[in-house]
Amino acid sequence: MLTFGRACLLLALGLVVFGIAASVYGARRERAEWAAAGRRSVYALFGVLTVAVVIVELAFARSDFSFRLVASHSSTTTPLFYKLTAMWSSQEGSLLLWVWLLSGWSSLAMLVAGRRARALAPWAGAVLLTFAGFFLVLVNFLAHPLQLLEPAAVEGNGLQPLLRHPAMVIHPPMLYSGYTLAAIPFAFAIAALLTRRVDAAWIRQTRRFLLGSWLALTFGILLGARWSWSELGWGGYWAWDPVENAALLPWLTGTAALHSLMVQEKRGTLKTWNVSLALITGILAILGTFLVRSGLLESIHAFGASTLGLPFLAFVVLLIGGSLTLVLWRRDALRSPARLDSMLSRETIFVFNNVVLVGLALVILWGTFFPLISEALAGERASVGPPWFSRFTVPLAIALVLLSGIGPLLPWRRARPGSLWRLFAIPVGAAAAATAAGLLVDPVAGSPRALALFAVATFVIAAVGQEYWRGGRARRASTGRAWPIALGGLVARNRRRYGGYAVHVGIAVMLVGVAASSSFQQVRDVRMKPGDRATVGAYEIRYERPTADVQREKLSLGAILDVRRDGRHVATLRPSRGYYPVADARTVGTLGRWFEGESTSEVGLRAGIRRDVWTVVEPDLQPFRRMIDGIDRRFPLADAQMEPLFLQALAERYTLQPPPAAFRMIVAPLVIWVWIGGLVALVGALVAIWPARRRRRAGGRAAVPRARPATVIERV
Amino acid sequence: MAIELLAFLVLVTAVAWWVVAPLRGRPASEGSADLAALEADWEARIAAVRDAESDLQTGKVAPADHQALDPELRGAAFAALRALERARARDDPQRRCEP
Repeated sequence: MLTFGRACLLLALGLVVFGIAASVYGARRERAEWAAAGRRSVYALFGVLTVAVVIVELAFARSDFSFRLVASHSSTTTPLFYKLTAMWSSQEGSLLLWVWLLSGWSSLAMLVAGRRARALAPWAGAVLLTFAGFFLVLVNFLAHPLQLLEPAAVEGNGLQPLLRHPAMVIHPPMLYSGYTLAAIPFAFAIAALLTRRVDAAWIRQTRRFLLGSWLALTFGILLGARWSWSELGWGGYWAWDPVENAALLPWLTGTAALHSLMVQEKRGTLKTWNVSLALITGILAILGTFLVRSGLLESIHAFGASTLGLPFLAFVVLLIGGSLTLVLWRRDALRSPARLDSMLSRETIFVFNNVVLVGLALVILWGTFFPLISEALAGERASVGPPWFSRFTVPLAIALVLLSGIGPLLPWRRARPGSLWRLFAIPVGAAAAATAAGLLVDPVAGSPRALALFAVATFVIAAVGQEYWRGGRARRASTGRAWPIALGGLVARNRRRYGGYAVHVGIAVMLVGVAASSSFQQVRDVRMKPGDRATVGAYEIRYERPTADVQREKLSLGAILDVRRDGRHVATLRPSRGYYPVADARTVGTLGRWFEGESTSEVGLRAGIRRDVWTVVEPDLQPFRRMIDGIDRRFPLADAQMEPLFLQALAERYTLQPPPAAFRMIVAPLVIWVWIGGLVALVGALVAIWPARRRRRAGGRAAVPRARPATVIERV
Repeated sequence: MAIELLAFLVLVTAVAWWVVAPLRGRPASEGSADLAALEADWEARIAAVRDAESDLQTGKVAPADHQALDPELRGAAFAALRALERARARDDPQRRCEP
């Protein structure tokens, strides 16, 4: 199987070479049969890579430790669910996942656009195959996922403990889907520049893929944040970690592109800006992968220094240089004929929104790469922390949320100044009411940034609510249907618009959660013995008793905490620390090996609509050191029967003579609204991306109505 | 090992046969017109008509302003649809190659 898989990866590289040649030849000579062969190479690439992925997955499922990848990232005790997802916990496996996803999305793009955009598709196919080629070179020659381990290991190292979380199963494929989907607008933008067809055709072919990229990145980022909050044990969901930022960068420029592409579609303007945004988003997606995979910047996602830094850097430089050259080369074709009619128009707000989004991306890019910049300039690595990011990003985020409320209220082309009061009265009134209410609440009044965010978020929710209400009312008047049906019809008739509005509400709600939880959270670090109490905010937390649990692959030492508010029981929390053993007991001892490996925090969390109570525990193992060392000395190589007995003895002693333990306790308001807002945004994006119901002709081409044109226009 | 080699040879043959299939037939053309630009134009024009109507219904533009703008938008949509229909009429579906 291993040899067959290796051969498949070489065949994939061969397909890439043939596909690029066939596509370019077909495009240059206008030979449809060559272009079709190029397209088939993309489909075949997906098929062949699927075979390779299945081989790797089967090896994980069967715990075949003759595969080096399986031996180093799985074990017989790893649950099947995690075995099947262990592939992307490794450098090699995640590169294979990347190129497999890319080939899948590229196949879909070729299937959708292959014959409709005949001039663009072959060039776009060649670009996508070049992306795939780069990753296949890495996979085949620098980080091969199908390496033989001889002799095969008896037992594997197991999956990294931190990754044993349901969110981590979906988080990497989601982010990689976001990155790989962003390659499709990039490829079509390159094709548009090469063919000088910079009209709206390339946008039409790639709009859904860009939205798909946004959707996947949003979901991936949210899952990562959720994992951080409920698993990492540091007490937050966003740390401005380089790898987190790497996903946020294409998300920001992709969001900008989704808005500005609409301006080009409707007004024929912003061509240079749009093509540049698509290119930048694609490049940032590669840069994101580069940051995760190169080990260039220190991160909680550290995969260590690797040999991939230089090839990635060369590829990113090639992409930037090539894109810049193409844009400059085609600057005449990119000149836009139309201008914006008025400052009071939706398209003008989109331009402002783009400026803010790109500003945010630049700030985050600078902060992320500051360690490298400082090292290059001053010879010393210095990094910027969350306060630096907050100083710049919070004002920009407030401006962005405000614009996301103003945009839906303004019409395309121009609004009459006289109509502004009618359009803005309710949202402005709601924002003013929220501000007044905030000023009456003690901690909010003292935080101008949080107050401003609450006000603008209320403005957005009221503005979008007004849009739904007015649209629904008009629909109801024209159809005579009941409110829910009228609203449903309104959304179904214009999914992009109303799905997009829901996204605005989701982001506004999310930022309310972020503002409240980051501004008003209360943190307490305490050391307690059973029976001790600590107060955090309005809560009293009592350390009831210790817990210990011995499992095949981990030892958990924890605590049971009783949480009370105003004397009433609110929750019972069970934070714990999981200790995973290292494989080799010879150097660290039978019992010592359980404390020399990795350890993770299991968070004790009580999530609520108004606030989360979050706790972690760090048991003090010092009092057990003598017992551990004594057993290690007397039984240096205990067998499989003895070891659980020693562990059980340790666990019993921990529960009978518990030492003091260190606790971190956090009461954070409105955290759940971060997840609720994210879900609303995801649902909105799904509505927007969902294909409109339309008549289809045989052969799958989008149907332009066959009635007389004049009749069709009248029907609209 | 031998089975793996045989399986791989079968796979390579099948993939190569399928990928180069379009090259085995007579040289094909996919038609004279590239419809993507025209379809994109038509979609954008018709969306502009709908958006203007939606802006009217939600009170963003006055009826007088909409009445002034609507004929222009519908005219552009009409022209885009006519151009697309003409291009499609020129396009010969028999000459397309698969897939």
